[in-house]
Amino acid sequence: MAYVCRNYAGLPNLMNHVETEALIMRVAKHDRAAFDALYDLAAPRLYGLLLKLLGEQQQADAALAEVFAKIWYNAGRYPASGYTPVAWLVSLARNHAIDRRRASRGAEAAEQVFTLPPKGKIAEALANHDPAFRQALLCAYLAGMSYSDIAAQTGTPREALTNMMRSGLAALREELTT
Amino acid sequence: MSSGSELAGDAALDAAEYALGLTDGPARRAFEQRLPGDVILQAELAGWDEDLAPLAAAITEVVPPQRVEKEIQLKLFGGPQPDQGFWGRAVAWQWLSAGIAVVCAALVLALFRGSQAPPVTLAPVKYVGVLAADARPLQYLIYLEPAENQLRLQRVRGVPGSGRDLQLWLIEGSSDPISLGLLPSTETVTLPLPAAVAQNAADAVFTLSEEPRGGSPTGLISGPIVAASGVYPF
Repeated sequence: MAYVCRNYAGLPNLMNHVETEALIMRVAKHDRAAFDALYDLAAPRLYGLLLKLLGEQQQADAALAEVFAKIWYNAGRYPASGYTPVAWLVSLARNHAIDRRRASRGAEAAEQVFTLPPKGKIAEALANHDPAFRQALLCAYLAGMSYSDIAAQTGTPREALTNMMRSGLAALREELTT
Repeated sequence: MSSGSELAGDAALDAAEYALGLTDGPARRAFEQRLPGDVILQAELAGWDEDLAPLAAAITEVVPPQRVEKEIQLKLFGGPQPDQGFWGRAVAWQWLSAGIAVVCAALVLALFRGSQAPPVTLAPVKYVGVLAADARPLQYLIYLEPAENQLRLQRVRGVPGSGRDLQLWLIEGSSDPISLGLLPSTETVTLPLPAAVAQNAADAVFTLSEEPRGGSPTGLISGPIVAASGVYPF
């Protein structure tokens, strides 16, 4: 079918919600070709994230397999979730990794410094926040660190850390919703 | 994230802590137990998950080892699918371009279904989908009624472009697309379907292409694909 070559010669992009969403919906109908295509599209992003969150390749390999099994079985729930496809995939992978990490009490989080993505509303909002809050948020989101992990690593008392984060999150929410 | 200009309440902050993974152990489990019965909490969590997801772009993508995909296929399907090659996967892509349509379809389903679960599960007799163009404001609702051997379309947004015709196609598996006809400029149109086509149409993909006046000169899609969508039971 010649039109395939014309319209789909380029590889699709995970951030193209239209294509990613359509794939998830086909996976919900247990379409294996769509599952393979979704794997090609999303696995590198999710695997990179799982490696950061879990800190060990063996753990990330197992988690990626588990995440894609969840995608296969739970894709039918996607439409009712109200999520955009990327947020649905990333949240699913992150929640799985966090549960896996907390259950196994695996690798201690190495000290890491994250930089914000170059663009986007959240990046722009965080850029104006206190560096300690920003870094703690990024360590939580991208490295799977809990309050306990961050408190231990930074030497900040747990209560002070919780207060700083909740205060910062309240301000961030205001910025994101206005 | 739900709108509001006052200081975020506990629900918003609890949801943020959960979305970030800051809480662990009992606090995390307690949040998960609250979630199913609390729509505000669900909305807050969805909002934070959406807002935070772009941060994942800060992580470098890493192609996983090939053995991981093989392991997934072994666990889920008992083995890999016969090799489709690049174009086999490309066909899957070609099928699946539609996106916004799915969100709209979910909304349509929600509107039709209301909040009550049906007391008895019956085989669905009608299907709905949304053909939504990416590049311009043009959107059609599709109602498939296999028992009636017909397809109804309602234009809900935009107008067809001038000088070109919109042609509707049905694509089943890797078969050549079947032309279902040209769309008139009216807001609603009912297209008769051959019985054999109607019975399988729920598993196919409906595709809208822009063609020269009078339709594709080749009998296959010759112009750009404007929108595509599957249909879903309601």
